[in-house]
Amino acid sequence: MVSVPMITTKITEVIKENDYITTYQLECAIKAIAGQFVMVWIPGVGERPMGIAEASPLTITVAHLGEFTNAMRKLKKGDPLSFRGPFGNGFSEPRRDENVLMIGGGTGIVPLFFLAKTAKTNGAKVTIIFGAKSKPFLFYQDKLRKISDKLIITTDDGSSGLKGTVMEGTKTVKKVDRVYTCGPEKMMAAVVKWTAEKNIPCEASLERYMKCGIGICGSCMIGKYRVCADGPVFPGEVLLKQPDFGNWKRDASGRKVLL
Amino acid sequence: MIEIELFGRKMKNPTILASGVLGVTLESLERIAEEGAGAVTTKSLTLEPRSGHIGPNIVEVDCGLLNAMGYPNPGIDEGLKEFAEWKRVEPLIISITGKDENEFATLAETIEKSKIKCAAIEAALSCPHTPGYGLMAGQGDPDSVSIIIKEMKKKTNIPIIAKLSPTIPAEIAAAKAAEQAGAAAINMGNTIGPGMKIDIERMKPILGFGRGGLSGPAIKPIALRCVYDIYKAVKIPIIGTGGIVSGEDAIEYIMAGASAVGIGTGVFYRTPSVFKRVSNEIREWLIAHGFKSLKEIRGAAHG
Repeated sequence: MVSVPMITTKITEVIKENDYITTYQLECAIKAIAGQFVMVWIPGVGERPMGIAEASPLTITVAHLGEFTNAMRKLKKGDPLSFRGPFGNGFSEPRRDENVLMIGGGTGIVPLFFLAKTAKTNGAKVTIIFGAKSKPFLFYQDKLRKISDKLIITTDDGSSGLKGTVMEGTKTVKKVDRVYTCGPEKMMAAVVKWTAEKNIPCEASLERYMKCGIGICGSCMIGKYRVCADGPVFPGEVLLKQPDFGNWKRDASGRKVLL
Repeated sequence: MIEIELFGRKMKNPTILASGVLGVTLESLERIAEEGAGAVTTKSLTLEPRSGHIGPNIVEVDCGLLNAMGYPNPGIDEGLKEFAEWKRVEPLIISITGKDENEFATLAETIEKSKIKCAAIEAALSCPHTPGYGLMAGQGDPDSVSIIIKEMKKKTNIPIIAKLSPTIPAEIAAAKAAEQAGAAAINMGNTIGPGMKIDIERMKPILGFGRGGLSGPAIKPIALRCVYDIYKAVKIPIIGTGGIVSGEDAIEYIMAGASAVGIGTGVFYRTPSVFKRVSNEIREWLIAHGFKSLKEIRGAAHG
């Protein structure tokens, strides 16, 4: 058991990535591995799990989609920011000379950027497929290009890169030893299915409604697994056995709802 | 050696998953039974669905956790559908909570009619941090305990557990009232308080609800003393809950008079394997001290 107090630190940098997405760099550094997450607290609004973009300094990148993330739009340089964590298991580390393929959709690319850095340090060959709705939703492109051996962009409308989903990008990739994916669950379900057919090991990072973050409240279950503590990263073969994967999640009351 | 019987049902060991921890889904309860729990309790169900308090819902403090979940649950109808397929041998306990005796009675009746295979219904009368329920509705008062259990008894033949708080002023009278009203067991122990944790940089309480129930090792001496006192006052079995992390903790409760022990926050300290580990530690202790069953040490602290 690791002690996980609430930490309040300061925002040192606010970077507007595009009209929908903002990056917040914080004053503190944490020990974390790619794929772990923090629970960010906004007093009076609540607490939400957020992927980690960088551990030192702690950096998070957020899409302003709901009440909580829109409340984050107001945050400026110098404002306090509070979090608990890091939580969860994180991705397995890519090995030297391994050909790894990272497939991210939307802000799902954030933890994969962290992982790509680790992969390069370890000497792996990194290909990244980054999918978004359209050009205005893209971000991180320069950083991703720098950290990878090959970057493939896909957009649903073809306004940038290949037209179509991330699966369009997989057609252009040749040698793959391992796949990592993070993004909308239906996208990950397609990726996991593809890796299973190709017999490539795959890890996917899930998102579920979370309350405690420490594996005891039971809000974030998928099958018998606690996404916050047993995950959020799961092997593809485990996910393929979960009827909920790609189909169902639970709301704040525990009711099953469509993804 | 560590098997027990509760409400005429056999349990492989005296550990019970306490309500509120990992009890949202059927598969999570199945997992906890696989991890070694002798019985499992669902998260508390209410008449209508509830989303619970805003976050943070939980924060770690020095010797435990503070939580203010606010009874998130999908409501009794969805909840019973969720747990309807319980097929394991470990007894299933359904926890319920209501705003008054009528709600408790309706919930009991709904469970009775559902034909769900549950070993007992646990009436949560002791939450310290949800307006309208538990301690915030005065349900720990002996008269309220009595009325609620009596009204439930009119609607169901399923054994009823009265879950009481270790911090009500009249815990012995409340336990007696539950017994006289027809409860099959007392669960002595819930989170206590409410307590508070302040983030000094923010100058604000951390929990979304501001205050929350304290659980974990910090509360063990209090709940243990309550079990000890209640054991002298009632004849029905007692489930001791509060701060149990190790086999030695469980043995203390059993020596105070508990028939079984509830574990909740222990899952945080020792992962879901806490049930297997506590059970093994109890067994090893009994062997090392030449005992053959838990009966031999139950209530032993009373001399």
